[in-house]
Amino acid sequence: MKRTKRLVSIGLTAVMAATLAAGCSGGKEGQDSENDNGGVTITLLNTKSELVDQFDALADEYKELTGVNIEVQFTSDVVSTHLSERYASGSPYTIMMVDRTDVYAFQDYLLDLSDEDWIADGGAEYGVNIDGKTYSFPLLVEAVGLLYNAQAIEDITGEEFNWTDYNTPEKFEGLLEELKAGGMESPVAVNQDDWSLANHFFGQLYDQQGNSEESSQAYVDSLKNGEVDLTGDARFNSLMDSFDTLLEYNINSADPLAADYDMNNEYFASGEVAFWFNGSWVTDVYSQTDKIGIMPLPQSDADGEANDRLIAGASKTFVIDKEYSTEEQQQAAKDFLNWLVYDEAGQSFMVDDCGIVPAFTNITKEVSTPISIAVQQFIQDGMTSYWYQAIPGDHGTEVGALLQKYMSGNMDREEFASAVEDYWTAQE
Amino acid sequence: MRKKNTFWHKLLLFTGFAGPAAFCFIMVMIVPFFYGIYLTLTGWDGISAVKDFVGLENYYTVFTEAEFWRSVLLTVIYSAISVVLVNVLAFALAYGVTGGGKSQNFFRAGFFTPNLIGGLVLGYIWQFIFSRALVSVGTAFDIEGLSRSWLSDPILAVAALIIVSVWQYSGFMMLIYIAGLTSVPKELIEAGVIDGCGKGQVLRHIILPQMRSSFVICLFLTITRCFMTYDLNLSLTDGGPFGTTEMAAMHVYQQAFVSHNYGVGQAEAVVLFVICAAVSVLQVYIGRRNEVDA
Repeated sequence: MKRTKRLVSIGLTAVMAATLAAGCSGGKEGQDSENDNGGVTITLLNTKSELVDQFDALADEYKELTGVNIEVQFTSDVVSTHLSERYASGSPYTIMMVDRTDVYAFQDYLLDLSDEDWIADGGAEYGVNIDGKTYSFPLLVEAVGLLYNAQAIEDITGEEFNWTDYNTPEKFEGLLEELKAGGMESPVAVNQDDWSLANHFFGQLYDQQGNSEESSQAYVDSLKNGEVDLTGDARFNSLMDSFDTLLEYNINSADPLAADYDMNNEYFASGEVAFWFNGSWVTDVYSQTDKIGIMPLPQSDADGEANDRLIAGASKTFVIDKEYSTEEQQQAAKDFLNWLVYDEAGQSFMVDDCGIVPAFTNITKEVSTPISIAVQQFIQDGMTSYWYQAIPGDHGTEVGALLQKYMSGNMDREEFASAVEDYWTAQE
Repeated sequence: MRKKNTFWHKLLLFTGFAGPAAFCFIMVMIVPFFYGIYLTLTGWDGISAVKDFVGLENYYTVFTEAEFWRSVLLTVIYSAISVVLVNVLAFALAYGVTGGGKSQNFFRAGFFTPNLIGGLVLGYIWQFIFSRALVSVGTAFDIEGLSRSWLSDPILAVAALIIVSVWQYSGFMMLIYIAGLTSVPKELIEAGVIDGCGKGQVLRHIILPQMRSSFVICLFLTITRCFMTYDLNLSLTDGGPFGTTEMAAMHVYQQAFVSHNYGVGQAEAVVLFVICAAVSVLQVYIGRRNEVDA
């Protein structure tokens, strides 16, 4: 009797220990067993907050069409930060929507996509190529610039708004004054988010350097070598002059750092402000009017047609993990990308549902949202300018903090210039 | 039947009962700790598959990096003020809700509630309060100090962090103080009152010395929590305005994951651990020593 009791208790503890141990390591097996009912399960990381609903709907649709489960997850973290965490913990996603610079950083873990069909249809041109191999699928072409609400402007000026009439600093400021006199006290919304300030607004300094990857890279290299004196740099001063203008008419000027992205979005959509420096990813602004478009930021230094060419390029891009994903998952991921490019439903998802300008030449669908139409017009006219996106991951937080300091009046332009020079020379 | 006291019997008994817990503890605490220390000796960027060995170079970088020490100094200042305020307030609350008032259970629950809200959520709520609600009130009633968001000013943003931490932690510490207060022997207080002590004298000469161990625990908890604050820092100020409120834990994260200097970031984490451990041990040591004297 005693003996059996002991045996039972030992048995029980053993069972307990086993369940505990299984609990510690059971994550992966659980996922595999789910695969048996239905097709393959792949995970997809979405990093565009405005497309969260669309991707959720897509997962359902794709499951119905092909039986493949797509688990969509979203993060608003800095993408490289989020991915290095996930890779450090050994649990990345099958398909990841990343920024172009991440492709270089994570290259070791990514699947070579050079043999895919879509490479010939624009994939090689807009994807990220390293050593002759394409590692990324360009999801969309985006543009950075000054968004305008033409309806709000016309309500005050009484005449049709054509951005080409106001693409010099003098004319632009004249319009801002006119709007102010007409009752729109602060016609501009300026973001305080570091990614917007540093990577998009200040990034124009690296973009507008001769309209090619090589010339932009050469400029950044000379910044790293400490060969650039920013205070004497025409492009830098021109950009900062325009920044000062935007700040002067900023609706958040009382407290620029308390600006809220969603509030700015609301000001712009409702016509409370007429201009908002942002990009073509803005989609939630058509509640009042469709007369919304995008133009290049008017600058005094128009070198390289800076006031006529819109900065555009493939930004977010899909990559596939090869280290932690199974063969089937990788194949399913490739099939999904093909479906996006070549299937009517996939094309419709990109163009109609997400309102994005696709990077592929075989897609003839017309985009429908006003800002995207404007961007497509610039592309068709050949009036785009190169968008340099190989900036370091901490550029947003570091240079962003400097710009916040500048815009809140805690730093003058000279201090700012030398701090930016220091940032670049500290890069390896 | 074998004897009970053999070595193997004891070993089996121990593995049976303490084994699973010890196994999990080792796997999630001890192994990562030493693996982390190993990583400080490499020049790993947090992504690549190669981890090249660089010796103590990362520690040299840490000791010469002004930004890190600035964030540590800020953490020390923030912790010092928060720890004092949290404990004073928590004790006052505890004293208030053990007096035998009618709805003291209601108040106990009320003061404890902030502690149930996660640091992140709490941070976002207070961010709204500081940058929207208070500003609206400030502009409506023309109050100078509230017309701009506190979070846009480097000093006031730290003040905001302290206020929220105090609000969050004091309820939890209050519980410990309540336990301490109720365990003060009634006969001691009674004896004091019979000898003619006033309320203040009872508090100072009987209750406070009797509660020394509660103070030691609460100070330990608040010090370690404040030193390691990350969630609140992230959600309330995100290091802003312009990076001035970036505290040590956040700096470590930025260094390791955003700037991709994993080795340096990890070395900073180790230095932070040593500082934090030293302060806590010292504090507990002093607290305990006086306890014996008293």
